[in-house]
Amino acid sequence: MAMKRFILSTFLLAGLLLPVSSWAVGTGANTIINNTVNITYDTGAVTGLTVNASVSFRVDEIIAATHTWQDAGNIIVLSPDSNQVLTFLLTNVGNGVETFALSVNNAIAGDNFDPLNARIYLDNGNGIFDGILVETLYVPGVNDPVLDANGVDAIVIFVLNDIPAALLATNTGISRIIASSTTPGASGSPVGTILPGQGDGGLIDAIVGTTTADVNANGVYEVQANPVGLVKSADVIDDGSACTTGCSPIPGATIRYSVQVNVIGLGIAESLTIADVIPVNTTYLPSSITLDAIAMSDAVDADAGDFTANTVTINLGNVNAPATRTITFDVTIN
Amino acid sequence: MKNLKMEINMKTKNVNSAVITGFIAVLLLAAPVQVNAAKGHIEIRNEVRKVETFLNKKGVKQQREVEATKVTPGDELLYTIYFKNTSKDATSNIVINNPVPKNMVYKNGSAFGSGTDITFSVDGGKKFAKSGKLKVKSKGGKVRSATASDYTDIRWVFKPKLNPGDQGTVQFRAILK
Repeated sequence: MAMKRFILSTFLLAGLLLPVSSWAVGTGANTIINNTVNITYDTGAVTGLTVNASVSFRVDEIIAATHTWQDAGNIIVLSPDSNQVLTFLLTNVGNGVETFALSVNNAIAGDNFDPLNARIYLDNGNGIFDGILVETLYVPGVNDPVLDANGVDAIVIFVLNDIPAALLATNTGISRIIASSTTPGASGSPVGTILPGQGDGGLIDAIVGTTTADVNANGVYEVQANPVGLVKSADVIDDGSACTTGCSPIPGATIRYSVQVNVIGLGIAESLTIADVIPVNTTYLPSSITLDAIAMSDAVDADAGDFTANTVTINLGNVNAPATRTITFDVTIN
Repeated sequence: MKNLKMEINMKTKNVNSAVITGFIAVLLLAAPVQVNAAKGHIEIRNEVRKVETFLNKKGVKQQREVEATKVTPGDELLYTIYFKNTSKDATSNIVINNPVPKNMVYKNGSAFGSGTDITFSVDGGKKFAKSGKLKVKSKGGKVRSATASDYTDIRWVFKPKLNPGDQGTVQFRAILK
């Protein structure tokens, strides 16, 4: 049932959208549209007389394009990192031949860092980044993409950036690619601006379409999260018999819990806190918390450890990966 | 855009009559071009205007006719055919045929002509029938009712006689693909 309902709604949506989008790319700029009318008539003496008249106009050029980010999700990076690839698709949705100048803006609001050293590469035709030796480095004004709305109308564009050092896990950085029509007067002009004589062939006008002549798309980098591993073990260290090994877990015996915290990967694990509730039928042994073999007080104070509400809490703060921290505390069996 | 315009501008530096003719041609192409009917009993004027939607002072959408320039895909064009008997003879059995221009789609319900019977064709003018009576075969071979976008030709049968000096008008609208 769920599937059926989905299909139905898709159909409805398609029906609603079609009339709007049916002429995304229409009759080519500079096409001559001719209309010829023919009239046949009779006079008293002659039948089947005929006369024609024509009128024609030329189709002007609409400048319009779309730019979309093609990656399935954020590109996961390390900090620092280099040559990280974002993939975009630029499509001419006007009706003429347009040349586009490309640029990158990494100073975009709403992220945590600005990617560095942006470079643009033009796809060699397979849509996949095959390395900087295979793809063509974009040089403004030298190899600006030329897209024909009624021919090869789209190009895959790769943006490569480097990632700064010392970023925090899950930090994001936005890289924006901008494509602007190189038709004089088009870039920066509002929708509907008429550019006399600037259409294909020079006989027609160019008109800035609904997308404007400047289109952009954002791609996002995300710093890899630091997986934090915990390894917990328990040893009976004292059962009242002055044992050194093989102590028995009997009432009154002391158990030492050891929690090893492993921060893996690169970057920084932020505000890392370990909380461990004391097991039932045991009692916390006061002043037994250690962090990397240094004793911690039970109070909530300047040191990292405390014992509150039957829970041992260690606040490790920001931990630079890779790192291993060891926590111990003792309990007695009731 | 390509640089055809620029070439013309460069040529104008060497002033000669050929270049001036070229300029006139450019100006004519910018505006709709009419080819007058040959002299006969009936003279035709075939006119195209663009239908523009605009917001009036009250902010309500209205339509107006403007010159057929700045035409881009999706625009609506209004064709008006004026015909006049300029001879001394009465004319009759007047039939006006107008194929829907290439790259255009007939706008449903737009054909108009006082004193005429209007029919349409979906097969390039072989058969004509009233709107709603036409059928087309879809790709799968299924027969369905034709819609305005299937129309290939419009025909007006002008019923009265057109006496010397009489004139008539027919119209239709089409949308540029």
